[in-house]
Amino acid sequence: MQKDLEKILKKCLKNDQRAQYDLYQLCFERLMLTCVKFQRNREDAVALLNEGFLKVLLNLHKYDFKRDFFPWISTIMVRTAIDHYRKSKDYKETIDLQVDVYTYSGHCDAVSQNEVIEKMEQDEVDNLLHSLPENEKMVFNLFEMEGYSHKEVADLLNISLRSSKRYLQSAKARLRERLEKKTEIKKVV
Amino acid sequence: MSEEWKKLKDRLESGDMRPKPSDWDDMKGRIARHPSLLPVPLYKRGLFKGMVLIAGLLLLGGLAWWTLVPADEPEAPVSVQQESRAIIPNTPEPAGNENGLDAHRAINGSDEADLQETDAEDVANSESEEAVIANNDNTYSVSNNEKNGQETSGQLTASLSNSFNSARQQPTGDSYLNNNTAQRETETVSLKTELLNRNWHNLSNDLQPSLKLLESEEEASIIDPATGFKLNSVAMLATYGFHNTSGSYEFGLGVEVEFLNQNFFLQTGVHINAHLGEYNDSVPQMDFTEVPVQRVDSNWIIDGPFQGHYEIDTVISTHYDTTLTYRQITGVQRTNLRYLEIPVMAGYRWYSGRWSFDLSAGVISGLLTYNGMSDQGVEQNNGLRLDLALRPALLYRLNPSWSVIARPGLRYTILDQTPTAWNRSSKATPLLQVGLSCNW
Repeated sequence: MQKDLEKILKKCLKNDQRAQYDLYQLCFERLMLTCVKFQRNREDAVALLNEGFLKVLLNLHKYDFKRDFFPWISTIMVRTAIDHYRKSKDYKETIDLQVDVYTYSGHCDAVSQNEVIEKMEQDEVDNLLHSLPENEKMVFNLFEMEGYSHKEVADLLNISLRSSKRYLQSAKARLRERLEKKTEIKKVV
Repeated sequence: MSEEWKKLKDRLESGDMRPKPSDWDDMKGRIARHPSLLPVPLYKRGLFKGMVLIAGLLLLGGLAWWTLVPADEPEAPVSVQQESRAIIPNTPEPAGNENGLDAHRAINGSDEADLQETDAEDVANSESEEAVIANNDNTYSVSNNEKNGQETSGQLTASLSNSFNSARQQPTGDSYLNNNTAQRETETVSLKTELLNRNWHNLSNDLQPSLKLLESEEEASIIDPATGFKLNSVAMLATYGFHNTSGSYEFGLGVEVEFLNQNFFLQTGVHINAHLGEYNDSVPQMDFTEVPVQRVDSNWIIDGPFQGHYEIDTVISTHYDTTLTYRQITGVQRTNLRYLEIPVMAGYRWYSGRWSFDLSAGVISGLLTYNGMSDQGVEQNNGLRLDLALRPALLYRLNPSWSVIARPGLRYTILDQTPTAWNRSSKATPLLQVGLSCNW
């Protein structure tokens, strides 16, 4: 597998179109895992993925063949998503002006929360995440889904460390509240 | 990641993530917009360049090997030897009637020889040597009557008949037989030799054009390959060129010398070329008109609570109102430039009888010696022009000393400091040169 991948990558370095197609097919699912967390619709996610894949092809000569390939392209994909977020939103203004932190005082235990998520439809799960405010969603995705630290999130999004923590706290509070509501609805039903 | 959000992540990633054909179509469009990601054209690939290089080296090597074959081992004489080998007879066998028949068969053809062979078999039954001779004599006489029109067979038959008649006058007996046999052997050998010479003569006549061609090639390659390039010819040439985009043309005269080494040659010389043409030019003209204007100062003088007047009495400054008039005069300008041009060309020549074909390439440097353009500065008179040139040529040798040359060529300007440089949207100029060359 690794040797096949190396062959494809070397052909891609020579701008072989067949190899580019093969690499696209090979990377699509992995890149899509990242993209669906940042974009609500599949079309938008694919557009983001294609933008990221183009960056992969353009920067392929910088890739160190001794390192694992897929983490490398995942990093490029996350950075592409951040760039896309910066372009699409006047994020800085939003971040700076928004000072209040959403808090949720209710209680929702992890077990019932997992059960609710398990029973949710795919659309409901997507809506749950993408209903978050954009900045909170970015911080939540980067911290909880992609495993970045608060320091890295703050650097990537060009915000303060405190803001990163605050947005994460808000995002979690909103998610918990919605999950709690879902739980109550389920109980009623 | 805390456990509570892991489930959410798993559910998010559990959707359909497979690619669709339309996804790749979009990606392909994005790739197509980046020239750096497009497939490298064949001629830019290293493999292609390497193959071209190898092919070029092989071609040059083959050309060099072909041209360096020693001049004393031509191919044509070998073929002549092969041809002559077919008619060279083996060592002469002991003479008999059959030898004479073979010789006669060779001259008169197989039908006649068959007739004589039948006669000879009849003669073989006879015990009398004289009868044999007489029979032979009759045979050749018959053949002589049959081939009156053929000089060769007639002469040969006459000689045979004479020899045999003379042999018949010899005294009879053993000594006569021995002498007669020996004489016939000698005569047969001489007859074969004569026949061989005649055949060789006929063959020579057939091969005469080829031999002449070989001789002419030997004449052409008068330079000893071992001594390198030698002055071979002087050519007088007339040049005509037309520059399509600017509408200008050039003509001139020149003398070139040629140094030849086998088929490779170097050419240089001097040409005086005139470049003539017309072009539309616009000359801007600007006129300044200045009108003096005086500004005066005025003061409001208060005469009373509700009255006053202006007092204009002081000239503060005088300045000029400037009017700028711009005119552009458009007209036809004529180009008249003369260049002293020195070509330095190297090439290769192929020979084919009286015709030769040259292919040469090199540099033509030109110095502007006369500027007939009225609107150009004098400082541009010494402008330099440098062209790359490709000159295929066709030569026809009128005689060993004189040849006619026709050269359709192409020159490409790589440096032009002359006044017409701005007027050349295309740098390639087709040329035609015709002239006369004196060889020695």
